Amino acid sequence: MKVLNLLLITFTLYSCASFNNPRQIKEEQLDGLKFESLKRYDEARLNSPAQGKDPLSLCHQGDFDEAYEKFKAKLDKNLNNYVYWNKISTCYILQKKYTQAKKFLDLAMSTAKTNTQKSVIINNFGVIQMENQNFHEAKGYFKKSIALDKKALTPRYNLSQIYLRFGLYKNASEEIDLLLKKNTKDVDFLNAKAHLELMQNNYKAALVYFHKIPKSYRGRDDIATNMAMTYLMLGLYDNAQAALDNADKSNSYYLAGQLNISKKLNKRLKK
Amino acid sequence: MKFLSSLILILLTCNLAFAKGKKTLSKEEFARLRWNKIYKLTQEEIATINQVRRKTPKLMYRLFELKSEIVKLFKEKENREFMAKKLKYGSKVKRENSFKKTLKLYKEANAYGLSILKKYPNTPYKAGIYYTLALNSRDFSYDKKELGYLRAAIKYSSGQNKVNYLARTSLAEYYYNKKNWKAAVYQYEIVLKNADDEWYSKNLLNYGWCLLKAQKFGKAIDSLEKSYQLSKDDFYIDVRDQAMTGLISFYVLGKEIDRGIKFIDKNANGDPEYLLKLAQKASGKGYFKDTENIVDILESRLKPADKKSTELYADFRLFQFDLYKQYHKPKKLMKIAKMFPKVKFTEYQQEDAVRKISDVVGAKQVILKKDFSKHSHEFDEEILRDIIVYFDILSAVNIKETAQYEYFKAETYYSVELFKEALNSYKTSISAYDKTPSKADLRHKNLDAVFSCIENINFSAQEKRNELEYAYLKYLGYWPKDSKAQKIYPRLYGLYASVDNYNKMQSSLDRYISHFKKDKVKQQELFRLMLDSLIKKEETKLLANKITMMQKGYLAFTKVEVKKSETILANILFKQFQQLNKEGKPEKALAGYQQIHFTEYYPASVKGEAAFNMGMIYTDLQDNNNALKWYEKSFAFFNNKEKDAKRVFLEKMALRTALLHNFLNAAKLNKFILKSYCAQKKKNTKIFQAAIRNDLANDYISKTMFTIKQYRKCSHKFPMELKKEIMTHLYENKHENDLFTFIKEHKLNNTYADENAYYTERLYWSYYGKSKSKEKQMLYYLKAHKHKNATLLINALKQYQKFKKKAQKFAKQRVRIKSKNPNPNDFIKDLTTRINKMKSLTSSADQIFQLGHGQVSVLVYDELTKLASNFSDEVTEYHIPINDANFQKQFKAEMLKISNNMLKEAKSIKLKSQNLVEKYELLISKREDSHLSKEILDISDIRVPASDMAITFGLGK
Repeated sequence: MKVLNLLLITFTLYSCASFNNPRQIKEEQLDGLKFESLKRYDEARLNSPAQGKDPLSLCHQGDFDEAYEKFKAKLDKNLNNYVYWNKISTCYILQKKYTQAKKFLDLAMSTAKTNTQKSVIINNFGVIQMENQNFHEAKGYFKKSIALDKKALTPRYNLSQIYLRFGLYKNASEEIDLLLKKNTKDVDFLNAKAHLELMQNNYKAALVYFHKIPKSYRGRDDIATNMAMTYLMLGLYDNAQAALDNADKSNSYYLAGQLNISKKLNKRLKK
Repeated sequence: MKFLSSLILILLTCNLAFAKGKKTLSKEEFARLRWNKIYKLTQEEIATINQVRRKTPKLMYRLFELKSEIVKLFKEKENREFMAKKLKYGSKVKRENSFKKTLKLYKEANAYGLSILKKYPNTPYKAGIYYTLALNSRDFSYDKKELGYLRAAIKYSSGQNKVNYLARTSLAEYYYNKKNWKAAVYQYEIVLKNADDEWYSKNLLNYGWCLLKAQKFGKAIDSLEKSYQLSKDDFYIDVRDQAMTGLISFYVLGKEIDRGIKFIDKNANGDPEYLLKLAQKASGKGYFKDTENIVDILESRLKPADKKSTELYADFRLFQFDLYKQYHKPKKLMKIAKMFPKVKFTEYQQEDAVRKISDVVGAKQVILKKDFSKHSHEFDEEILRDIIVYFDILSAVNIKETAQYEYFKAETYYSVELFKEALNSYKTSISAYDKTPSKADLRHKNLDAVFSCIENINFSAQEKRNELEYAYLKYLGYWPKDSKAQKIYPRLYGLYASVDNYNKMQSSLDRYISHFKKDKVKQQELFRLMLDSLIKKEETKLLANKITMMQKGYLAFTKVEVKKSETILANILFKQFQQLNKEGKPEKALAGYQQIHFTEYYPASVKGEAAFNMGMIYTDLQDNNNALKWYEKSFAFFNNKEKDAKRVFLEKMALRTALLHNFLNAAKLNKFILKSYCAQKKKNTKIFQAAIRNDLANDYISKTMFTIKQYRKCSHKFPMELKKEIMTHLYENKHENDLFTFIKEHKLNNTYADENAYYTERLYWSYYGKSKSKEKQMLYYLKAHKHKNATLLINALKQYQKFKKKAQKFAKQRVRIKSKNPNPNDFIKDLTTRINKMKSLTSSADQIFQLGHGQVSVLVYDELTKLASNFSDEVTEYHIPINDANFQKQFKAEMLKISNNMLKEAKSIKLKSQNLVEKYELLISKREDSHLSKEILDISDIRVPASDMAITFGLGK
């Protein structure tokens, strides 16, 4: 028993220590989606009194097994509760078990009553499709989700990300501008806007939005990479280098980008 | 006449003895043969005499004797016939009708005798003829002429002493018979003067009786004593027995009992038989003391061990019993009675003894009952004791009737309300009857009385049960099928039920069933009582046994009732385990159920239920492998109906298992349902769907395909929407090979043509530029689809390929400038031609755009952008080797203008591409040169990766 307890404590400590969400936002005012998603909650916010008891919070911290046990224990009281099924589904999405996630989303859908509720679920269907790189399907879900609940921000954000990825900048701009109206300080909204401007070659405009992002978040690999690229395109090589230096360098995808920018920067500096 | 008869008899005997030597004759045959012989001889003699024409009186007298002999023969014959008829027909047979021949012959003989006397009035045979007429009248006619003929015979026989003596003896006998004692005494005194007659002893005997009747006891005793003594002489007829019999009466009547004892001692060697008769006679006349005196003598002389006098000894004891009864000597009476069991009675004596004691005991019973007071319950205990002893004696004397005497004892006890004693005796009587049945069947009476006693005795409950059980069992043993038995079986059953004696309950019920097959309703009711009791007591083993009987058809219970009982048994058995499970001790509950499951005597359904319950616990424990294992085990014990009853639960469990995230086991349960209820195809459709959906939830494609293959036959249909669901899953989760196989196997090409064309095209673009072989493969599928979208893509691709070739060709057809003596005008001409070619090429792209395929259009835009961009570079690279600085300056400026125009063109194309993409929200997988961010993307693709893009909407509203 003692050994078991010790193992549990060790596992918990490890779990706590292992919490690593590069997109975490510590200040809730910087989180424009705080009422819809725990995705960008930092550990402290996840363990706040409001969220600490929610098994979904455990999933966001990677404690899936414990979360599932808690969900299972509440099954009988929640058979017709779409939120319950949606949260389980969210956990499976976070765990990257998308077929299971879809199954629970089906359950959630069968218990959802209002368009708002359905909007939530359909967003998550879109997330699954997006994770599976079925962007056409994902786009369809997000648009449907928005159609069902025009106030929902998450599907708009997700849709904007697809638009950005596929270069649909006007479409992206519509969504991002709307998001920024809802929260002008949201790190990802600002980053998305800055990225949008950058990709449309509006480098200065991009820089304006990058600078709106609090400094503490500019080291995030995605932000730092985008900023470095912007500076590079503007010929502000020192700033570009500084941005690269400031990067967290924890995301391999962006790390590759940072390397490419660095090479380009070096070439230009040599010239 | 006597001589004649003797002679005939001797002859006859010799003949018959001779005949006998040949063959043994019956008594009747001998009599008939004898009669025929005598009759023949007599008739022959008559015939011989009748041959004489002039008969002498002697011959006529002889003929008269022969005729009289014939009458005698016919009297004998007709008498024999009369007796036979009397035996057969009783009093209906009249004497007067039976002797007609005799009477006729008598009349003829008599007429013949009288005719001789008329013809020869002085014949010396006159007395003899009258004597014969007298005897004939006496023996054959009863015409009251005997006395007259005898007197005539005596009258005419003075010279004939023999006839006179015979006639006078007959006359004495006549008077004796007519009870004319005085006349008889007179005749006998004359007759007795002749001692030279063998019948003298007999005449003395008759004479003595006549004297006795005339109250002359002393003379009478003398005559009989003389007759007795003379009888010892061989000359005289031996009439000793008759004489002694007479004497015994005479001694008592003459009050000379002691003389009698002495005479017997002296002349009959003290024969105890005579003494006993004397005692009996004396007792009869009230001489108790004299009788006791004789009894004392006999007591000393008669020994029970003496075999010769066994019967006499018994007679003596019987006499004693009568004696003491007559003289009211109860103690002596009892003493003698107690000897009876050791006395060897003859059959007759035994009957007599029984009758005597029965009379005594019967009288005592009447007294006992009469004196019994019902208020005070008082009675004469001594009488009761005596009665019981007498009945015991009766039982000992007449062992065959012991049952009867025990019954009488019981009745005696009952009459004075000694019910316990009565009950014991009734039971003893029944027991005795069982060993040796009495003449009267007392079983009904005994058992009725037993029931009555049980009601009257204040028994303890246990005692009463025992007694009733005895009575019921006895009754049913004797009369298992009568109407009372029909009522007793349930009572006996109830008796056993009151003490929960289930074995006896069952055996009594079985007996009831075997004799009253039509009482099924009542018998079922009784059996239910037992079941209720077993249920109440939770006697599970026995209850299981009973249920097994019901299952096998015992008392034809309905299946519903059998099932109900099984359910109750299961509930009892499972109650504690359900509690354990509730208390959070599932291991213990499982162990309990397992034990029941493996216990042989429980009904199959209960074993099945136990296994099923184990499955349920394992389901709760989420140990779904074990759950499924036990569900499967349970089904081996269930019948179809029971299996059906489990279906809803299993379906719920499968659903619950899925809801608890275990899709693998949920699918297993679904498949178990499909396998177990394969025939219920309509119901199975939704389970078939669930099984597949659960397989898909785990993304187990092989399992999904196996489920389809294995269980499709159990489903009413394979819904199209499910097929589409599978298809979509395969596409969305990148199982393209399975997708195409599935589409092919289920012939979904046409049904879902749009979807298939879409999936194939998506896959084509996903491989585009990455895998030539996959590109080809997808293109092959697209061609096969013949869908309008596929056709469009193929056409667009064809034209794009042509366009691309032209563009590539165009790129290589740069303007050639001679190195020696170049002509700038030629260059301008060639360049203009090239620009026109490019314009022509660009215009040809419009045809592709008009097809309206977004991705292909973007590819064309890429080509056009590249074309313009390259041409822009190309023109800046041209150099005409003319050594003229001004020319060179102007030439470069012109080229730059063209280049810039081309760059503008390239930008314009990019914008067109961008507009197209945005207008139609095209998510283009391949877009390079026409991309607005081409410059950035050339440095690095910094677009947000898919894995980081999406944000879940986890918080509900």
